[in-house]
Amino acid sequence: MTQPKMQQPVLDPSDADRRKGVRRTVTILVVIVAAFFLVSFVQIVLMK
Amino acid sequence: MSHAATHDQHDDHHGAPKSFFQRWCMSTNHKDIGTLYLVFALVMFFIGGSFAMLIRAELFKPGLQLMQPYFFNQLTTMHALVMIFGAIMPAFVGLGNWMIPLMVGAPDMALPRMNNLSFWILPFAFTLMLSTLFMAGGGPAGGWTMYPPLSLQSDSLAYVVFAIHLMGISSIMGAINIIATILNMRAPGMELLKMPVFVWSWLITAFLLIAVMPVLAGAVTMLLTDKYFGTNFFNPGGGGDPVLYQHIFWFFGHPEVYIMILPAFGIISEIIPTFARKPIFGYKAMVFAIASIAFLSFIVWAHHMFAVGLPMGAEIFFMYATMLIAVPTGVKVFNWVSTMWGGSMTFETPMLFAIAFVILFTIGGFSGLMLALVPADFQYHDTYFVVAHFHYVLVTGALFAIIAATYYWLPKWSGRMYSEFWGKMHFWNSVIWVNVLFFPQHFLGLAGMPRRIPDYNVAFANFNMISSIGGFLFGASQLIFLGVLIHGVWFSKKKATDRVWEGAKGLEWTVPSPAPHHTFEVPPVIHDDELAHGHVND
Repeated sequence: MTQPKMQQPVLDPSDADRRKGVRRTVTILVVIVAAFFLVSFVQIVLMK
Repeated sequence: MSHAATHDQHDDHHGAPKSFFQRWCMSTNHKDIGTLYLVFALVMFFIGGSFAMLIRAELFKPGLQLMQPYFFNQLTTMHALVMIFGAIMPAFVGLGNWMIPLMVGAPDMALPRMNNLSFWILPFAFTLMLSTLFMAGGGPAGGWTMYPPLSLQSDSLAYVVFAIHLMGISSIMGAINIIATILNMRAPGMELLKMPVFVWSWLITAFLLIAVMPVLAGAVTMLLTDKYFGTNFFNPGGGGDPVLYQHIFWFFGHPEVYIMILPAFGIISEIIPTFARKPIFGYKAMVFAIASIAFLSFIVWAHHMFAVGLPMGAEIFFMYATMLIAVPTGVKVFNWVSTMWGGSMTFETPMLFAIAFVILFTIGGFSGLMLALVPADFQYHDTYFVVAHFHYVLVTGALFAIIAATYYWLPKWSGRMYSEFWGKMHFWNSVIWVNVLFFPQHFLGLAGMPRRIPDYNVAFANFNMISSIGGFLFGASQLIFLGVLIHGVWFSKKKATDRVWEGAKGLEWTVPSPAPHHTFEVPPVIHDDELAHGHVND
């Protein structure tokens, strides 16, 4: 398949949406992981 | 499909930093970090493999040959830890790093700096863990499962626990990165149900990782506090219960098994359609089967501990839940075979490994079904039958899929074709000797030979000798792989085309070979005809 010659990247209008999406996804996942660790920690402290 | 609009042409690495340190230690490029993961996994594979060679050398004949039992226990423990956390998992992360952005049309991973950190934690974690072998008192010797009270006897527990925490942090960061990438960075038109099955398999695996790695962290922390801080979680003398550890560990451990096989399912689902020159049979069923297997992995953990004396109701529940996994797994095997049925098949090295995967993984699955039966498991538990079972799943399953993926995508990575002759030599040697290595272990287990024991009854001598010979030759066969890789990356004269394989479909094949340092800086325009799964709703 032929490839294009040097081509300038253009600003992607969906870029801002992506950034927002990444931030939201990471926030949710980090909260889940932190909650898991917190539950583990609380459980360890309560059970000891 | 449109071309990938990039700055690059076929033969350069335009954009990659010139300095070695900048490029490999400071990298935020998904391809370079993927390469780092794959090289790390290969090194760990040979280290873990050398432990396996020592184990098989000791078991070559009855009686103690080469080492004391305590060192043998260290070897079995380290072999498993290195292979699971150092070879198989990083290899899949490396493949994911390399291929997921290329497959979904993303310019890079969503969180490139975290990607760098995820990788660079690993060499430190494994240096820490392997260094315990050279310490007074030696390395961990209680098995990779680290059951107390045995594991608490080890002086190196704190090192290993810290190393496991580091690996866990690395895995969680990697998983967050993969989920964020797949959910947010796909090119316009790359809908979820048009994604390659490999991407789907990694998305589901990443959720498994996030769910269970904190559980492992909790379990090993409790071990640590039991040993050094006077707690009694697992000490019956202080009101604790060692069986509690087994529940917690296997709540992590069983999903962990699927973490090591789901990406393999994804890889095989990419390779078979390419070399059968047909779209995968039942794309949606394949995706839902992976999700079903992932869900079921959370409700089967106690099948690892039938012999501890669970209530009858629990044993029956876990037995049936485990057997249920055969349904979605059967769907997958059926669909792989159906994809091949009537296809214009060719048998290049990746396809050979993929077909071997389907056959041999199925054998491992069937022995798993046997182990799921509570009454039978009382006989099989802690015997070589279990060793044979999980090596069929993890070696001819996970490892064969990783090797298949390496042959499949290596030309895209390096821009050169590997030697098909030596690839096939590697395949036939591997597939023959791996069966000589592991198949006799079924018989040893059924005859009652216990696992993790350096000496055995003379009645087991013949099968052990056959198994060891298979082991040495399987190990030697992997040197062919190393040679093929070195030749294919640096010395092969045969240039790879962009599409590499005639039947290959998907975005990754639209970029030049070798894949330029930066790809899809402008999102590609996607036409369904060129996607492997572009018409799933038709």
